[in-house]
Amino acid sequence: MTKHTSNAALRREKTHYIIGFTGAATLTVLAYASVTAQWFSATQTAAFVLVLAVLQLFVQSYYFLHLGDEPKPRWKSWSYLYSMVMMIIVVMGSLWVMYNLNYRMGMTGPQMEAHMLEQNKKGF
Amino acid sequence: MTSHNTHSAAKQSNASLGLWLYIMTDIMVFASLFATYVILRHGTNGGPDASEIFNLELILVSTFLLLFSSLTSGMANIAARSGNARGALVWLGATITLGIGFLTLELYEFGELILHGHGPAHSAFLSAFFVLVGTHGLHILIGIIWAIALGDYISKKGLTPDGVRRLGLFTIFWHFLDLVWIFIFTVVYLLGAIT
Repeated sequence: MTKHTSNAALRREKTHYIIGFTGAATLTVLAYASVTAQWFSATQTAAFVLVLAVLQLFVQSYYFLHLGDEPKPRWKSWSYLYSMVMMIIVVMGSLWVMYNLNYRMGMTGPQMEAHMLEQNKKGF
Repeated sequence: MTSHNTHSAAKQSNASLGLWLYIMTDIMVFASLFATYVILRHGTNGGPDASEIFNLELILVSTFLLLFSSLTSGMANIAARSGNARGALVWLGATITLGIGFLTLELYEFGELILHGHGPAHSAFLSAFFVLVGTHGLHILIGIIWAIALGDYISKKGLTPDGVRRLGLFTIFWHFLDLVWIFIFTVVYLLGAIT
């Protein structure tokens, strides 16, 4: 379709790149500064930089990869969204399982028994 | 639309979906490497943890090298689609240079770590770190080789429909690598520096 890309569309794309780059650079600097200058407590900083990373993911996906900007049927956007969901399941699922495992392995025998009895009372 | 245009449009659309499917599977590779890293990052085996060994200033520089190269690759793509072969080659050259700069800093970082005895064999944390960041670096290396081959093609044959199409695909691949890096920068380096 290269021959059919109009000048207006290319100019729009160029503007998108400038906006996307400025946004990504700002978010990167903010995240870096929040860690090195220690604006917040450790937990708050961790949450802050993760939120900034997700924001930057959206900024770059829209302005650089032009996702959500394609004509129907939106194969790219939907398959992208799908793999994001799968990624979250893999990462969060692994973390959850391993955290749980460590938590339980960290207990002594009697503690574990008491804990399981406690869980049983809840009907699990 | 002539039959030639219809054919090249179909080729474009198929190739772009093909690359997209590849990226989807690559996302799963990185997802498992991220999960592994996050789980093993406290397994330091008595050695250093993330807050002790990373040079954040260096990482900020390489983050910006990669971000700039993402922008220049987009500009190369736009120049090619507006029929500006010279512009496309200049922007592609800038992308390659920035990519090599990024990779050089990464190799320097790896070298320093290994020289100080913090190699991948030292602990689970370091193994996971080297595999995650090294896999991304390997992708960057492949991207650089791809970009050099593209530059060679365009400088010899000009902006053929195939050349423009391939440059478009390369740009998507390169943007994707920057996306992955956002999370390496955040999860490995920034979260690692928080004590």
